[in-house]
Amino acid sequence: MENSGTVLMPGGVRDLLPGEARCKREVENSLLKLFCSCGYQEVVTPTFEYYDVLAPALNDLLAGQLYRFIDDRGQIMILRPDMTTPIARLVGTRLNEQDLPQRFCYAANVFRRESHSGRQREYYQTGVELLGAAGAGADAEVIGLAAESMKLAGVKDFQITVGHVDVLTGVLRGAGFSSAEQKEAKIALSKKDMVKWEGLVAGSQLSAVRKKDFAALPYMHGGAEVLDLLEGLIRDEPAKRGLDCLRRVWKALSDYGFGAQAGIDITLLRGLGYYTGIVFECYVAGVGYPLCGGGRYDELLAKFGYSCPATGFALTVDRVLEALEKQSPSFEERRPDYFITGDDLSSIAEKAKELRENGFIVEVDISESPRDDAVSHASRKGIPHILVMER
Amino acid sequence: MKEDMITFALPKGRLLPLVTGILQEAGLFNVDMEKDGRRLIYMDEEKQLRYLICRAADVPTFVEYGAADLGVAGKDVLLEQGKDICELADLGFGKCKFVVAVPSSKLDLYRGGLSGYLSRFGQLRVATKFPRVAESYLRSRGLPGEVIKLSGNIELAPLVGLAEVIIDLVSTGRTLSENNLAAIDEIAGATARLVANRVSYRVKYERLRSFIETVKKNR
Repeated sequence: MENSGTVLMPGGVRDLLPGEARCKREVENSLLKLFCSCGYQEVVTPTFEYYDVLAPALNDLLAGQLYRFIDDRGQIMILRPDMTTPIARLVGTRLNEQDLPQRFCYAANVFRRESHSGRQREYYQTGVELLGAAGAGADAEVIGLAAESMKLAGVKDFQITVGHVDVLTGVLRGAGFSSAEQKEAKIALSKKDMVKWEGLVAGSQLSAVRKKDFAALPYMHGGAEVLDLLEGLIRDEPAKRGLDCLRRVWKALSDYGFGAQAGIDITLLRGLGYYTGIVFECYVAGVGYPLCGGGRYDELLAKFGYSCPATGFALTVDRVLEALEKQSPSFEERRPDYFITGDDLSSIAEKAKELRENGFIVEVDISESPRDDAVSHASRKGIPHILVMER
Repeated sequence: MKEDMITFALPKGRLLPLVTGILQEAGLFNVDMEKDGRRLIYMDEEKQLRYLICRAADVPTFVEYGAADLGVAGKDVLLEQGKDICELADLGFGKCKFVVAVPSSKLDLYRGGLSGYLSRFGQLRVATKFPRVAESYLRSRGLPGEVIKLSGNIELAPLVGLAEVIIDLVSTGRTLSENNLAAIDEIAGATARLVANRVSYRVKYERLRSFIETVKKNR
């Protein structure tokens, strides 16, 4: 390759051209504004931190995806793979004496090693963390915000899927699965290996009718009727509390006006052992990955010495942009409204300032070429108003 | 592209007639395949179905990215690629298995399995087309071994001293015996699987369900 090293970029990272960058900024700004209006305060954390500090607290899905490097003092560092862990570190070590609940939001790039070529390795996430509130009310607030974010970003026809890890555990326990079998079942479900799942169900002690219900569990995506079915499948207290929480979140989503887009799937797992309650994801047809996801992670902050319930979500801005691009083909670049040329520099400066203060985009001619050339440049660029100011 | 269109990635090669057979029986595949097999896309406008003809090993990639909603891929391919997709049903055909094989003449050395061999010899090199399967097999058994990735004709490697053993996919075992190789361990069996994109399976589920049910019934 002739150009190697001068033009090429590594795989999995990308440039954002003006139209895309503008769209990304607008999505991020509108989401941060929404989060702020709900009492979430923006925080910023470092791009890289100590491996020893963050790694033990990470979601098991991320542990194998870290970019590590050794700094000039011989310390192992990682590029942040998410924002939840750094925020947990921040709150657990520095803000642990403030009144609860605390609400934080962020817009940041995160870095993940991907074994499959073509997948992004750096991408942009915007999200919230709600710390110090254990009830279903907090879960409902966070999921409601996630749905509102999708709507605000302009994503049409999205779908929200909600699950609860305690309900799933209760269902598996209720079916007589041993703890080893429960783990096996969860691994199969998290990998979406239905063949394995159906095998486990077929080999269980369940009655023939129940086996059919169980085999169909990963395909359920309903509302009240799924809740009622689950009622009959669980016995233990944690699962009942989980189901009650699911019911309240479901009701809240309907109250917020997202009932038609939401569905319950208790086989939704986002990693094993990280989430402790509600989990959820949002999808849209045509984008092969979830656009946003989150849930309750009550055990994370204890890893930073501060035991505190927590829930949150992250929306992947790149995937939202992909969805928006599918809906309407191209991102428009912002064109200037005015082009000003001429030799009366002080009037030009004054006029430009006045127009800019009124919200117009004004490009001042700095080409030092003949006026006709400058004017034709402006009209080629499609600038609607051209002003010439002569002394 | 219409939202409710279903795109189905079909594997070229030995699985193709079996898959189209199931689909035709189910009344889902109403197009005539061209004899020369050059066409890559077939449309069924009436049922809003679209079929892509892909390399078997590429089906999981089309499905993972959402370029196809559904696909058929061998479990062998799924094990090797470890892609993030849903595995919906075992179609039962295309049966084969991953085996560890050694030259028949040296079978005696492997009486205690690979670990027995390693207690007497220092080096174990494994030639394979499936490095991921081979590595996870060695790791799960705590065997130190070097995996050598080849693109085909794996049977050659032990015959010319490139590797001590091979890990390969066999259906009848004839190629092994023709090359004087013998299987000493089975790693996993594999059949063709119906797979789906993780998002399609939720977002388009209403349409996919009847499709999947029909395919399952006819398998």
